[in-house]
Amino acid sequence: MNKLLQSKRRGSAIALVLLVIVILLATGVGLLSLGLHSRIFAIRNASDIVARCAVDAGLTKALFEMNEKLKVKPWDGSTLPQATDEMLPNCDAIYSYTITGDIGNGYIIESIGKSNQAERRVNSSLRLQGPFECALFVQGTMILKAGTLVDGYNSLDPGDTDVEVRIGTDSTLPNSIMLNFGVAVNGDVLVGVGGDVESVVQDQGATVDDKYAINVETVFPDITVPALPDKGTEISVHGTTLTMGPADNGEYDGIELKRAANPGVLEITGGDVVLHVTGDTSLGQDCEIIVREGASLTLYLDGDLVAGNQAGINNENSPVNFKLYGTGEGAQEFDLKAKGDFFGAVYAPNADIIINAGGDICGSFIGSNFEIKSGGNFKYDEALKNVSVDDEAVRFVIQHWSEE
Amino acid sequence: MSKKEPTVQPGFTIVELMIAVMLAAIVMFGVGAMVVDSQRGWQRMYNHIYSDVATDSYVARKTFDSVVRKASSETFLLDAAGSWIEVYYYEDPNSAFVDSYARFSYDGIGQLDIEYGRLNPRQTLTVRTVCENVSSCVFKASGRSAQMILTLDDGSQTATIVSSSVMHNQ
Repeated sequence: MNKLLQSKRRGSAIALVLLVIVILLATGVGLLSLGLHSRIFAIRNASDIVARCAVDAGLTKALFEMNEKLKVKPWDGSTLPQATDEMLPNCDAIYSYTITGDIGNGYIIESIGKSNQAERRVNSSLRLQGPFECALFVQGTMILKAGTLVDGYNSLDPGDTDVEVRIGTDSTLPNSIMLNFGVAVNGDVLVGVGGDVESVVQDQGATVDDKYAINVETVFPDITVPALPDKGTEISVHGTTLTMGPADNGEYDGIELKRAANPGVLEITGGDVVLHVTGDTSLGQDCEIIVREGASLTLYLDGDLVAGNQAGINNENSPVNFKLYGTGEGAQEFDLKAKGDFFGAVYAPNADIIINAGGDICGSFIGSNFEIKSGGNFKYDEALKNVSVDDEAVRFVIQHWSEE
Repeated sequence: MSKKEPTVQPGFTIVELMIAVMLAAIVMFGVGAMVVDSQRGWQRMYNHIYSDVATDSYVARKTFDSVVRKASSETFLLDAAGSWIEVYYYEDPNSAFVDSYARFSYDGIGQLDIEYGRLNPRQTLTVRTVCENVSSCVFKASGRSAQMILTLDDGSQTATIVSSSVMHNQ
């Protein structure tokens, strides 16, 4: 036995063992390499997704900051929001954003999101959006009388024939929009998010371009009544004509126009008149509010508006010159009338609006419920889309978005 | 003359040989199993990373993501059965209206396509195959988000990806 162990003949065991070790090492290294690649691939994918979330968060934050800044009047564009390497909560991503531009040429947000080696970059241009983007929009029901034609025009550019007209509701309840026989909408009819258009729109023989459900719930911005001198009284006119100009801007307890021998008339003239009425507005028979040519009336109304026979609000200008904002905390009722064509824009998300006009109705109406009882056709004035930073209920929205 | 004594060569008994052979066989079997298992693991991992199913699912996710993210949130079309979705976007960044569309569609027999085209008037520009070996594809939408649930199967490997993106444009 000892001789066998002491044999000097060469064996092959070491070579075999080494061969096996080499094979196992090669396989192991290959597996590790693949595993590493797989891991790197997964990390890159995950980082890319996290960077995407970060860049979106940066854009959202920048837009929010711009809208917060917009709430402070007057607008100050000298300093614009910016952020550098802000942490996205609960992950290792960071985002930065810068805003460039000015109110005249528009603003551009550049947002950058980073996570590990992944980087995403997004550019967005902003535009101001006012409350009158739609011809008619309600939170509840809308009824258009038979034969109404809903169309659009642009009082600032009569040559503009390509006006986007939209009417709609935020509701998804059945029969929220009633289009009676002969109604023609040269535009789209919108229903609330997820709504069934065939159910929400009761079509009794109308023609429309398209009907579809909106994708995002509509925002009805709050109205901030400007600080006005408290007049401590109501505007009361009995059988006479009261003329008001910019010097009369202020807060009043109510407006009451009554007929005596002659109808009571409130005449707005001489410039931009801003009234805040904390009570109701009542127009007796034949009484009227007249907005004279060259003047404008912005009326913030906390109460209701009622109008008797042949009463009305008659604006001798384009719809831009008469704006009525419903500022009541609860439900409101606006009974609008016009002897001829009605020109005006009404933004009252909590108000039930009923309109009777002797002629066409031009402008835009945003309310809780809306009904055209009498009148001619409805014409949306696209000029109402032109807003400035000092207008009511404006906010920045993304106009164009692009990703590098 | 002395008689030569017979030499005794040292050797193994048959039992020793059998034990040695069995031990060697066990060791070789173990080593062989490890090598084969390693090879299978390597192959499986390689397929997992570089197979058509893996790369196609990656391409599909990236394509869906890039197209939907630039789409307009105003409107899109979604098949009731979820087999296609059509989104609209601005080809020209200065355009006031969405001017182009992209339509993802699953043909039901293994192919996911994307069709690009212009609007007003509608005109198909290109139709491209995003990926093959699709065993199922369902599109869903909620608010401004669209989702694609895609399952790829090439017979040897199956992969399911869920890709969700928000439409950012107006």
